[in-house]
Amino acid sequence: MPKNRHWDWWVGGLLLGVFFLLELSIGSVPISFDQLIQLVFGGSPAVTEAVSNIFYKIRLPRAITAILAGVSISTAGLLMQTLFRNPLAGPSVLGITAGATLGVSVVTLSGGFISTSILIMQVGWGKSSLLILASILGATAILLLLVAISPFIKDNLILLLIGIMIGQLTIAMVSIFQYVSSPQEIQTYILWTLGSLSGASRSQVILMALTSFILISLTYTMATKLNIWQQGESFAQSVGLSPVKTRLIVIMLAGGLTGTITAFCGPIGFIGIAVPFLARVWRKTDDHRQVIPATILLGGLVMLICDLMAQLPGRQEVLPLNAVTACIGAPIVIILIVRNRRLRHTF
Amino acid sequence: MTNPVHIDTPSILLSTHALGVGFKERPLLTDLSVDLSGGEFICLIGVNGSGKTTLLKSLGGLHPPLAGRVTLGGETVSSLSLKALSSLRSISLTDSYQSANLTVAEFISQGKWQSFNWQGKLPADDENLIKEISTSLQLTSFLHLPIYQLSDGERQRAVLARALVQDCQVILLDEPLSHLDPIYRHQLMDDMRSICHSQGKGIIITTHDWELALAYADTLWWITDDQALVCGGPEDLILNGFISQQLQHTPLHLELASGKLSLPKKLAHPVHVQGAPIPLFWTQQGLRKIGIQALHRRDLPIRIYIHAAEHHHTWELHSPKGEKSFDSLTLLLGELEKLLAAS
Repeated sequence: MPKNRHWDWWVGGLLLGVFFLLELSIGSVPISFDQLIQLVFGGSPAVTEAVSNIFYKIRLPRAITAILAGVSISTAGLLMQTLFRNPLAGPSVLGITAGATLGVSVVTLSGGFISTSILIMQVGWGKSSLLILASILGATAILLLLVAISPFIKDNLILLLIGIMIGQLTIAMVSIFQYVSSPQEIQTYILWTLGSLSGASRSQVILMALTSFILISLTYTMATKLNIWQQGESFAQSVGLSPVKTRLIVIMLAGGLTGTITAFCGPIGFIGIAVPFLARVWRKTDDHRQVIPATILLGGLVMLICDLMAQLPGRQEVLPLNAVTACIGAPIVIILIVRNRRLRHTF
Repeated sequence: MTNPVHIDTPSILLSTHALGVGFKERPLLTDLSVDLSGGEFICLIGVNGSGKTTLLKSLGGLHPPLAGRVTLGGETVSSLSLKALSSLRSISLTDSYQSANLTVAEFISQGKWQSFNWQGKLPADDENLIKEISTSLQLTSFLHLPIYQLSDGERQRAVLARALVQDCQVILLDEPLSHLDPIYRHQLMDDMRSICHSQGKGIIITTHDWELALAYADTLWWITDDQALVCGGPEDLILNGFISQQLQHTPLHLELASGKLSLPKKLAHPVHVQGAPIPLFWTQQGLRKIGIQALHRRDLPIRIYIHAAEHHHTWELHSPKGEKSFDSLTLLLGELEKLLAAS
């Protein structure tokens, strides 16, 4: 067994803490470190009502959402890469993101938003809740479809093809919707596809946190099985791991994680492919008992960094999240691929 | 480890009952009823495409039989779950290895993954078993290395170790000898024999190395050209003429005196060769390669006399062109080829 280095886990954790604090403090209204301490432990007049509101209603949910989104999307990406034994697989390969996209496009585009929103507003829901509901429905529909057909699928490649087909179908339907939509409707839709960490309310963050926690804990209990799976289907069968069952569990875990985050934050690109990859480079192993925790830690960290970069211009507007994740992530991954030839031994 | 089984009362570990093997569109073997006993080492032989691997998979429950059934430890294989099977047999196929960034130790321990606790640690018994197996396969010095740095032969041993670590009574191995050099081939065959005999396990391997199979197996399962499976001790199958008969329609020939396979060559240009037995044998071998028949007839125009000292031999060539002496067989053969080309 290789020596399990402990100190770099601590460095990683520390960095995560530092960037979490930065995320809380940086923004259009800066909150100092003193203020942060007083906000958390209370009891000082130095913090105004306005700052307190910004902290509890905007910054804290946003920072927690960033971590949850990063962690969940990265873990889902890792699951997909191991399931398909392919470094190009990401959370979107199963078509779940596409399902959510389709759901959102149905309510935002082609007048759907106007009619549905009038209906929903009568019940008293806001616009963001409507989008969340639509994407949950879309993602769940695809997840259920996959779960239903997965026991009959003998081949990973077929699963991959189905995911791609669903994706293509979505693109086609969305473009039809876009064609018959007004510019305002298209704008609402496009804003959603750019990804956002600020959409979720406090109760939604709690819901997201619970789901992510449960699914990620279950993922960790799968670590040894994922190691076996990575060695190929023939070996997995010879040591008594059922391909059908394993595939089903992995689909449900990855689908649940992707669906939850996509519902609240929109389709978040790139992180799901890049972070599991970074985790393997960092731990220098394919052992999931190490790669899963590393993916979790790096997922949160990378997402916080991306969101900070998105806010860096220091203005009222925030850069689109998906643009930032790719701008930061792609060069890093390219450099690492070039420098770490060892990685090609993984897949 | 496991309880030794008395050789005089071998228990039957695996048997097939009117088993049909193959694919719907391509049935390969039919109506097989054979047994594997505790302590038995079986080599499964057949030409490419005869169904060796498919039979092995069907025995291990990884390929559904076309007809009949396989029983393993008294239970029908097709009714067992993969998990139940994994404690009765270990099976290693040629595609059982996928590249991964894992150490050899981690790789081997995967054979015992069901015993991992939640921290990913193995109980002491299993750790000892892994140590024992790695030692016997001479893998100890590689344990900390990433598996992809191993050569094909070393990796082959790691794959075997992983199958052995599963610690089942029945072990099915597809082509375990591939990529191994002769030293490890012999060693591995010998190891597998002794595992069977000392621990009462049953091992079935497929192999293309017929000579080694003849030399080491307790029993051969030979798939014939007409898709029948013939079982028997290798010596019996040689003496009753079965193997020679199998080779009848092939260019190969089994030398009954040595158990070696050879490709008979049409030899011309008889020459006389004389010398001590061992240098004589190797000179004949060399001459065969260039198509010359070595005889013992002094009246032939070309005559070779071998003078032997310890590790040093000289060859004296008498030909119509005169006499010449050579320090090595290679030089002699070169000269002979020139002679023949000229005539």
